[in-house]
Amino acid sequence: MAPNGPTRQKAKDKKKRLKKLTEKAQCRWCKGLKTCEEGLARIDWKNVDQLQRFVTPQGKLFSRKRSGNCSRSQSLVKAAVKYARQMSLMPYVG
Amino acid sequence: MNKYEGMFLLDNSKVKPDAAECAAVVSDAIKKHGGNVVRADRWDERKLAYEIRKQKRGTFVLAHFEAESANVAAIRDDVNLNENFLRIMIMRCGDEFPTFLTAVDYEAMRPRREEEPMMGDPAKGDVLEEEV
Ligand SMILES: [Zn+2]
Repeated sequence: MAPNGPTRQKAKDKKKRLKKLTEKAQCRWCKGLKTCEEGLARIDWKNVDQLQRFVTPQGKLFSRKRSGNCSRSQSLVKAAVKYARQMSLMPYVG
Repeated sequence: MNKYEGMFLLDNSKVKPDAAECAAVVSDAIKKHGGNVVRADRWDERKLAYEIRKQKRGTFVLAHFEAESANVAAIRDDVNLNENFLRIMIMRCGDEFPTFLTAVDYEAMRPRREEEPMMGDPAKGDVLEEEV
């Protein structure tokens, strides 16, 4: 017996839910881009204003959960903040 | 020959924070070890995030140059012994130099906060993580 009526509707809902779950989560760097490289290339350790959005007012790095970065961008942001600290563009503490 | 991007932090009490002079000091440091300076310009003169050798302010100079890798190490060692410099950062570029952006350019491309709220809004109940 072919599913119809409420059964078919259920199957559709399930498909929709699954799509939502499996949809690729995108961070703010890679969002809407074909390749991540374009987005990740925008991370620049000299751009202090940009990096300031990923640290607390004390200068500590936000967690990935907080910043919404993907693994690659978080790693690049982390490195960028550390370079900026070395050059005294950003503080280590306070 | 590889392409490098170098950021130099100059001591304001040793070098005049004058655009031409700063660029000249950095260019000399690179040329001394056979580097080919493509562009060296004052990046910004600003307050430092923390004091270095009792200096609260410093002048940043950005330089794009080509050099052999061995010479880059020599430049770095030389600069570290030079009192005019407080900090140095040399990065290898890929095949092409990135666009030469000064602090003024960065300031111009800063997104306005009201257009794009980047962080969660605590007023809306977003959790601000507090690590101890
Ligand atoms: Zn991403």
